[in-house]
Amino acid sequence: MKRLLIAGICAAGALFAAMAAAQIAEHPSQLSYRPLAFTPPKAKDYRTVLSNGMVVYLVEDYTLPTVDIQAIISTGSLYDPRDKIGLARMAGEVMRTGGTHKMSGDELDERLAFLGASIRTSIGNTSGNASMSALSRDTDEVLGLFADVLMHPIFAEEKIKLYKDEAIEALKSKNDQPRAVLEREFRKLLYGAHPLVWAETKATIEAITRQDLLDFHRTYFAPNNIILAVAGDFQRQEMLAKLEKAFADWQPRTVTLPRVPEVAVKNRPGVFMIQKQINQGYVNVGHFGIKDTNPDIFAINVMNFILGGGSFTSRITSKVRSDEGLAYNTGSRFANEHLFPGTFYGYVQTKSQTVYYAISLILKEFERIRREPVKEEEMVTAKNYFLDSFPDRFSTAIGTMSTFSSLEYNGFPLDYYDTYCDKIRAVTPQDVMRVAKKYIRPEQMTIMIVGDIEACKKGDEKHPGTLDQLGPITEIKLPDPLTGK
Amino acid sequence: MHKSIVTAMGLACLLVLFAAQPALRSQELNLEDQVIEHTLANGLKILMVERHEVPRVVCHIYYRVGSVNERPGITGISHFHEHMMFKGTRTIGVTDFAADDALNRQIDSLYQLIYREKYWKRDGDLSKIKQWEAQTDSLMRYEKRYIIKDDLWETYMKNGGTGLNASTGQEITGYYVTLPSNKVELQMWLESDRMLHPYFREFYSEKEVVREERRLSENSPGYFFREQLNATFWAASPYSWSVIGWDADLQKLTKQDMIEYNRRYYVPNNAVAVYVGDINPQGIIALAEKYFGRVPRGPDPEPVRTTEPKQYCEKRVYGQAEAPPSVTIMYHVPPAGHPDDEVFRVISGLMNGTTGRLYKKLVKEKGIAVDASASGGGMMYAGEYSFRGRPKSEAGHTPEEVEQALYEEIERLKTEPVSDYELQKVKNQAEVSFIQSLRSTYGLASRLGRAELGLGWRDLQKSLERMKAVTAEDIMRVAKTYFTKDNRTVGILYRAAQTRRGPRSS
Repeated sequence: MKRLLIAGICAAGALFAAMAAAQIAEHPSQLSYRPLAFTPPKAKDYRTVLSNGMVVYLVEDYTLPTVDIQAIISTGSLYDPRDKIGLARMAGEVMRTGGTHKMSGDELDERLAFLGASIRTSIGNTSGNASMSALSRDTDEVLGLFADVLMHPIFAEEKIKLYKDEAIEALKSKNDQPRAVLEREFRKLLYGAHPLVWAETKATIEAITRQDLLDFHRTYFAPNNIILAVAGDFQRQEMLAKLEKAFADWQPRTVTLPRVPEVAVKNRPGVFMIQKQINQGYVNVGHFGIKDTNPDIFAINVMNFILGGGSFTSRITSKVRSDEGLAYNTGSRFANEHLFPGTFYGYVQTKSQTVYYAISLILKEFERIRREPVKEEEMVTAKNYFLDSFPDRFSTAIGTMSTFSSLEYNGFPLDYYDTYCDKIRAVTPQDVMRVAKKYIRPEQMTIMIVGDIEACKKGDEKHPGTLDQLGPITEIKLPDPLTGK
Repeated sequence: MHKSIVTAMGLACLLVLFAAQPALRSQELNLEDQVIEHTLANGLKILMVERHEVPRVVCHIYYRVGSVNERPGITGISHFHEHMMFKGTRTIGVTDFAADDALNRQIDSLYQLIYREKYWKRDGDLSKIKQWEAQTDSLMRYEKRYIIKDDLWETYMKNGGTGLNASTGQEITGYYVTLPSNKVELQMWLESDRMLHPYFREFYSEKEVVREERRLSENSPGYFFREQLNATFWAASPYSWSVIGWDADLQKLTKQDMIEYNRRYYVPNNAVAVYVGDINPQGIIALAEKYFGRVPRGPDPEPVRTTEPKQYCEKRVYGQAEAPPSVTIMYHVPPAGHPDDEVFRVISGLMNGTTGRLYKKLVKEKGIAVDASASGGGMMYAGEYSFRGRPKSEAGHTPEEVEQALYEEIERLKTEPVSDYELQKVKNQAEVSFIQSLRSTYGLASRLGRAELGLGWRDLQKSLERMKAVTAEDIMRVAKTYFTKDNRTVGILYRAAQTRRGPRSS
């Protein structure tokens, strides 16, 4: 850029303003850019292992006088017992709020607040997360607290009660948001009885005891079951010594994750409706998708960008929103899962009377991308987007370290990003059609609608057509959120 | 420089990646040292911060316009206008401008007839309306041959644009893209073009998109209640309507309204352009002179005239929705820039978080709420400060009980000086969050741009200093002055037993 800019400075001297204006390209396609090379940092260069087996990705970063640590722990709510659904999520929260032998939860809160620091923990479906953030001058103290929380949480009874009260109150709002209802019920329909879609109820929350939480912690929290990402204002060797010291008492041991049943991949074609007295239909149209380790993922990402993932640049958004004015939100998505097949779906929220019409447009785009080769311009736009935006992933030091630790956690090769751009470049229009045919199956679509059923069923004058043209309609009754019945 | 080659030297070399500058200490973190500013002759302000971690540049442009600049009849126009800015210009989004323009003129005149017949008359002629609508439909179908769909968006995307978006608030509208550092010129080209030559094609279909966006908001639990509560709180100020606007106004807005609105507010002397990332500031200035420099200065837009009058009596709003029960207590406070403004920031610090007074008292100690919070302060033309809480309804607690408990905490602010420890804690947190806010290039661009259109970007740091000077006495005085019964509006929301039908749009 610098060479070009020097020319720019000369041209833009006040005296030459008029001349400069005359030089403005008539169309942005006439602009030319200096080449830009970017080689991503390599994960292996930042990786090290502490003596107790804890894997660490670490980098010095002097942008700000701060230190950040993000940990991934191999656990998840996927392993909850059937009668104690919610155990992992509760453990993830109360291990922090409940304090340790050294410091009660309240004392911990106070001290961190006074330092303007934070320690957070949480557990999701297939991983646990813990993080700390502090000014670098407070590194020793906050790191000590962080290690203590990871190693010695006591799950104080009073904080368990506080958590349970809030969790039960939150259950009552489970059916308030139309979109949350749609996402949940769509997954429930596909995954059936699989633990991925088990839902907490008042009874399962109340059944969880302090001993359960202590046992949970003992089962999954071990140094060799954790990967750390560390970045900030420190000297590398000093920081490594601090980490060694902070976790010195923690011995590695064998952690075995319980076996989780496979997902029975069986699509559920048909129209499924959930009654809600609102003025739009919230719609998902889709079926099972892919695991994030699927080797076709690059071709799939390019294909879905063109279909409905690339916002306004994609076909579905362009047609349903921009052309027809039918919706604010519309597109298509591969929601990939790590250990299991994910979902693929088109989505739209549109006023009740245009629900059928909007769905029919989305289905047409599904058919089209399977049948017609995509245009060269579409390929160029999609690939350029992935290639040119690639460096964004490495824009903060802690973000980069965290990206690397996630790679390792999810079992990807550490050189994944070294070959990323080549793999995008290699995708051909033939690949796009092949994966469209393989992963989009119009005859297997589950069409799910949350909205005012009667109003959605009819079209209107301008948009004729009714929902039963799409298949037999089944109404799903929402369970009571407190009892799950 | 992007030295990302890792050699056999291994880790020593990696320092280069993220360590562009020597270690800083918080007291040395001075915005003044990092921000470079430049003002064009037409009044456009350029703000720049160098960050060389990756070869990317966050490019934002902000205009001082939002729903407070609207009036009854055109509510929602600021946001609708933001949508229209993606519909192209005389060059972008169109293959044959003259032909497209001729069609648009025909479509606009037909819609003028339709709107008059529909909205001006009590008993408009439906058959005429139908006939005109059929004509506009066929003209709009014909127009598609000249339209390059979403051209601006696609141009950004295929050049690696991320964070591509725009947003409209009550006071400020922003347009965002992050580009590879060799392509900032593209942003200058496109943004100066849409500042110079906006063209509002596809106006009528986009209006329907905006109305769908309003429906989406309406379907968010408790939306109608919040909208009414806000409208009740503000007696005169244009803060009383939502940014999305009233649906009746959206229906009746005209193309001419849009053109006039654009001319008034989308002038370089009402805007700031921000570049944060891998830039050479001199190069940015040269490009800005070249591209934005060609946009003529406009008349300075008049600030909002209406100030909120003093409220002389308590107002209360009751409602029900398929949403968690809650209480909201809103007070009028002074606009930003008033010396009391930082005191409200300190009060928020005292109230919020798990060590804040509200959580401690209402959630932990009394056990009547699942959460409680306080927030607000001065805005550009007025101010609002609110306390909120959600009762633990499963245990039989009510919004009214939470309301009383909130008043007890408000009274405590008036009568009991806060301890030195509590005050210091709040100030420490403010200082750290100021430092943390400098991390993300996107967030930094946003804070700088928005602040610039308010009290100026330098005020971000000055405000922190003013906050550090707030005393226990200030807090008592401010609480006594503003948190009074006559100055408040209280909203009580109950959970609806049954789902209720929202108003249907025609």
